[in-house]
Amino acid sequence: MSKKSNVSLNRRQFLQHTVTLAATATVPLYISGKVLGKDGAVPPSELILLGGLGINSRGGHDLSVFMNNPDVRFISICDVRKDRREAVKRQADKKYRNNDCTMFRDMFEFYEANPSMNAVLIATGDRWHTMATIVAAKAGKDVYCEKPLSLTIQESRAVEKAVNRYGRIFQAGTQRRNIGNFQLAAKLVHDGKLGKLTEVHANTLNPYVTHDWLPAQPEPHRDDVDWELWLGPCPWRPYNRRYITGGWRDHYDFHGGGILEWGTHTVDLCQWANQSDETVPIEYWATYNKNGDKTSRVEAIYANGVKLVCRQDGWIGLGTCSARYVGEEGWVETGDSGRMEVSSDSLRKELKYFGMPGTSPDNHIREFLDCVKSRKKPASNADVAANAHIASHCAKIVWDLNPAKLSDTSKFFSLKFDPVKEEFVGDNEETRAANRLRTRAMRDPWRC
Amino acid sequence: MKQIFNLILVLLFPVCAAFAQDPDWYKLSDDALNSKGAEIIRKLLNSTNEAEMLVIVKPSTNDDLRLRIKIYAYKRLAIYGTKAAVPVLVEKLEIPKEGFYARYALESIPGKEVDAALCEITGSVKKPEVLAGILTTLGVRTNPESAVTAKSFLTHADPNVKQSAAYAYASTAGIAAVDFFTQKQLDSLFADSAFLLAEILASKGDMANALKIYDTLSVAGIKPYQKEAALAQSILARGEKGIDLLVAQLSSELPANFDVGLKVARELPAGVAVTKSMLAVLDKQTDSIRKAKLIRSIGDRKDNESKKISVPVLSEFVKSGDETVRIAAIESFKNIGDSSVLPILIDAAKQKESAKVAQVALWTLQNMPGKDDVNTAIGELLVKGDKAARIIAINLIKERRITSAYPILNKSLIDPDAGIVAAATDAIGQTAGLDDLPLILDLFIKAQKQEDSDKYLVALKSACTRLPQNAAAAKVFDVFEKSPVPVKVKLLEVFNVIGGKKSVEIVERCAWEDAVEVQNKATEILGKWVSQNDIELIAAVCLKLAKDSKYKNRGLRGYIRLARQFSMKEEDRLKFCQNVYDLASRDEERLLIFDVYVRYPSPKMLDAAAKYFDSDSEKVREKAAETIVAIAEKLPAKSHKAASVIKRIIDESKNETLKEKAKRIFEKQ
Repeated sequence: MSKKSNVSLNRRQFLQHTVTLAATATVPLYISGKVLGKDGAVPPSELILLGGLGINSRGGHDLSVFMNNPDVRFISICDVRKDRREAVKRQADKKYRNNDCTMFRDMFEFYEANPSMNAVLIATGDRWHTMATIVAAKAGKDVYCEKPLSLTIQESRAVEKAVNRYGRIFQAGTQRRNIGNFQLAAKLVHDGKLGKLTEVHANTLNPYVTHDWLPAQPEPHRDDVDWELWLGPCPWRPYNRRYITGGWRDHYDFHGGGILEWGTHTVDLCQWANQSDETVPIEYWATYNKNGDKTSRVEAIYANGVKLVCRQDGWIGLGTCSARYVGEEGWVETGDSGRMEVSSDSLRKELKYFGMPGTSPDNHIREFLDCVKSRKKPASNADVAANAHIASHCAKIVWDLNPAKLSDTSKFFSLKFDPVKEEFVGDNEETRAANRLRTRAMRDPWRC
Repeated sequence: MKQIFNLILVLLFPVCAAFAQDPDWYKLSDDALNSKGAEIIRKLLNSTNEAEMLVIVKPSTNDDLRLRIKIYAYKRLAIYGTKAAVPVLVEKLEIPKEGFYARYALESIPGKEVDAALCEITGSVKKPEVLAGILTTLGVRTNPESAVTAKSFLTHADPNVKQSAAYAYASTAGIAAVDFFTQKQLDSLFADSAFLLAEILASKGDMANALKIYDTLSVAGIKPYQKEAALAQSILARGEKGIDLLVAQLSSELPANFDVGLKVARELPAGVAVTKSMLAVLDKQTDSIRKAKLIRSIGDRKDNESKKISVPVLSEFVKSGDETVRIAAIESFKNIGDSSVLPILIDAAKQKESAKVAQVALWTLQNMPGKDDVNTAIGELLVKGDKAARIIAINLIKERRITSAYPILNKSLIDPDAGIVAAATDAIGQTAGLDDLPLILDLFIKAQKQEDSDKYLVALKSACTRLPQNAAAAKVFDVFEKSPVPVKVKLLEVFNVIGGKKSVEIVERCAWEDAVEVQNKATEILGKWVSQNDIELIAAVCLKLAKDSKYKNRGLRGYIRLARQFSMKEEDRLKFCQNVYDLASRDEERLLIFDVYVRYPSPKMLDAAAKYFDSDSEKVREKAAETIVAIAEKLPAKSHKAASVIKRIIDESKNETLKEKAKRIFEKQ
């Protein structure tokens, strides 16, 4: 089991909550006002030169947050889509009132042309997160990468290995580790307020994904959309515009399905609450309703006996990405509304009022920037993110392999997993199949 | 080998026939394939029989229409294929578009037959990109017998092939590859694989060879960041024996090397020797930013063994000097501080020279370890301290939840000093008990300025978040019922924070009250109710509004929101939707039920949506069609029986995109 995580308000949040310093809330914490020039200018040695890969809607929001920090200078964008490259350049140039942001289609050219760039924001579609992070780490860059990081168990670990091999700072875009209500919920568990922890519940979505192709359309000019690069390490398929405009979701080759979509946030929260950041559950099973239909719920058990429940339904209604922790003496549930519910009046005493919705990445991004300078591992570092992803992938694999319908609902099978060897344990058809789903080949020249 | 394969196929064909995958499937016309393709795919997805997959993969025809079907077979072979599939797959490797799918399957198939076949074909593969892919797969598979093949491509002309060969060689050769990866003029293309080999050797306990590789890389003519990474690994692999190297990095003028030192220092195991060497570097350091970074690194090591030597040094940095350094030293006490540093931190929190130093000191005080001794000292500060110290103490009592000091804190709410009152107001929400609610309510009502009123309202909500529901609701209601309308409107929000039966009753009553402003706010709040525990009560109130009030539409919207957002049984959710549809008088509200169906996709939700495909309203029909397709897309084909209605969408919908989606679903039925 891991060391306890820091669940108090971080210094950034603290300062934001302090009226006297509210006006300086965007000032980097790492540098004192005296070091900053009178005009707020940051000395060159403390300026973080940032680049971006695949920035669209979510990435655009992240980028705005990054650029609101005075010690960040966004200098270059790489995207296989011309319209997105140009849109991001406009965003950056408008912010800095110049025409300096450079644009690239190919990430190797992007790194070659920007040797002084310190860090990158990766907000491509999920299919690219692993390889883009690995290439960035190999190029000596620190990385803030949107979730999910990977499409397989092996990719999850490969991200961690590359980041650690090259000594890079990595923060996954799982910002709830830096948001007050989620921190307090974990703290209640860690402080023993719920008694012995028995269950952790993660709000996930329907795991289903399709292998199907959309109808072929003529490929655009390579400079407008580089379809080969868009596909990257994924298997070839014919072009269809819907893929590049968000329709890649729910396609097996590009997306991990609903457990990964939200589980990378919420399973991660459960891992944290259970103080199991350094491991994953050891057995997983799918569930069926009374009609014999497979539900979207997957359950698992940790070596310490705590049960992990990944479920779409049955939430109190505290917002998206909810998590619930159940102990022998009570429970707590919270979500993106910032509100928390607990099982008893005695636990209510422990609560705080969080008026702000719980999805802002401001503190998470600031923590990343501080860590780029200090070289400390941030909260959602590659090690903890890899394990949360592996747990989610295991859940998805057991869901995939169990049949859609069972005449006898007691006949579902579970899969045992060895967190050290990172393999499913046993010698039967299901286990062998599960082990083969831990990895997927990548198209050349990509490998992780 | 080919003969053996043909024999296998001959033996397998009867099995194929039994599973009814037609060996001539690819000869079907495009039209026929368009209609039968779904059936072939469905069989594949439900089969674990390798022979059925091979029947699909075998034909050489691979236009997009047929390749779309073949990929299912390749992907199934990746899960269920055996050595029997190897000859078929290897033959496909060089086919454009399709070749990768063959490698995709081969990479997962267990057994040395795959490695042998892949090694053999490397001798004849023409395309460098295919060769690179095959070598990568050999690397992923880690069979030591592939090492010779991998090695033979290390000097290939194509850089991708060379890199893949190096990866395969490092993955398969073990100690035999050390000489290659420790050559002086190592190509930077090979650096990543050298790291990989070092990690493999280290995981097997061969630290000597791992170090040999790291040391070679750290001085090789490779990219600077590759060398820095090697240096870091070299120090970590040495442990305490790497302290000299660590000190060299921390003392380096080069920013990148200094960064290596900072990171590595955090990762080295606890031990006085490391801390001592870091303190020595700190002593010589003159640059304030570097000093601050070193101090943070020392703090982040959380090395209790070394506290005796680190805390006194860092304490001196807290007292005076550069602001950046002071802040770093203060913060380090969050990890390694104890009651001995309390006076220093309180002084830092009180001083007025630097607001930032004061705030960080306060934050550290809130979060530093130690309970009884630290808390007692803080309680005393509230009684005996000067104004600045009292404000600090109030904050600490709130954040550290020092319950023994709450009674004194409450008195501070009516302190003559405005600064003390402001701090106490900020704190009271976190500390108030039931008996304190009247005091906060009183302050809220009497507040003269909007900002004060807002602060007390936040304090009230904050307190009510923590207090027993019905008792808190009763206390607030005592004041509420005597309050003027503008105050009532604001206090209504508090009942939503409290939740519970009593709060629902109060808000319900307000929905029917005379004052329009109160009615308006109450009905708005019912539509935002947050507690799942109150769902039945809120549902009843919303339904009542929907049936018999001028807030009919608001009632309906609040009611359907419960079905959309809250947990309930599927039959209840369907019933909520039905009720809304029956009671609604406008399409705007009727359409809301479809959002619920889509959010909880199931065969029953699909059936429910399908009922409205014959609605008189065009808007409802269109929304129903969209909903049916959206749900059907998310469900496995066999789990629902919506073929007839999907066929009608194909025939009748004017939305071309929707029709296209419906067609694809229909094919899968």
